[in-house]
Amino acid sequence: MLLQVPVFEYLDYYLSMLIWIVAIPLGLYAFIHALLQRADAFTAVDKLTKPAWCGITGVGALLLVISVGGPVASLAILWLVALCAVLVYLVDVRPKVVEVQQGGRW
Amino acid sequence: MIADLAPAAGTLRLAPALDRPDLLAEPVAAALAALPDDLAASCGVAEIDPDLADTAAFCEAYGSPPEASANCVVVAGSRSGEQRFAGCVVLATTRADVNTVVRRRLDVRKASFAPMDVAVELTGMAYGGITPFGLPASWPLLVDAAVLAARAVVVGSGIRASKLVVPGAVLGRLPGAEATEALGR
Repeated sequence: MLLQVPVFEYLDYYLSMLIWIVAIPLGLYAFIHALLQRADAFTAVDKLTKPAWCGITGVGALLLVISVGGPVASLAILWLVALCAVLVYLVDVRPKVVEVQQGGRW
Repeated sequence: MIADLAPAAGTLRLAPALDRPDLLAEPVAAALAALPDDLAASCGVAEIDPDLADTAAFCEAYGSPPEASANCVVVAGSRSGEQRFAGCVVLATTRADVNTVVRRRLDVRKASFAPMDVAVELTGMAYGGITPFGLPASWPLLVDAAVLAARAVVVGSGIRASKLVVPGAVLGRLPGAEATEALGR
């Protein structure tokens, strides 16, 4: 009985939709965060430069936003790539850049 | 002698720094006065708009090439509860390699930029005006080799309302100065 509810039939669709919706604010946050850091913090922790990370997260956020056709439209691969790049920034780069500035802003 | 500084000065009108202690923060004026006379006499100072003290804005407004500006950052680390600091001077076109070069010199596990309020308090200089001249005597002062080789570099004066322009080699003669290869990347 339950299995005939459409939600389950389209589970993959709803799941990817959910990921996509969560990814958009993450991408925008990563881009804005990168913009606000001092440039030499990136070099200080052996990462790509500030312009490079602003570019990566900026393009990532843009790809996430413009894939308005939904997560399984033709841009599907692109937004998944963008999400990966954004996650690398948030998980690896952001904590180190914040730490080297001791949370303080110059 | 300050005529030699023209390539870095852009449109600034330089005065001999020794004649204008009013344009220098107190520890900076003291450090300048403590230098051998011929070195101190080779340093120039110019008044600027304090809103244009940050390097990018300064270079743009006064036509001074960015490769003739040197930034001074204060790096902090701690070892067994003791806080250690160092001044680091690199050309404005490069960034200090805090994580390897400075960290190793300070012999600390983690090095980071000193928080602005701490740096301001310990140096007695203004935010945006921190300069290698007159840093606390106990700090090592790491100066990138490219800075030392420069004929003239713009550095802070301890206040936002002026800039010092000095021969790069003078920075290597400051107390605690250590020529450091590959500090800037």
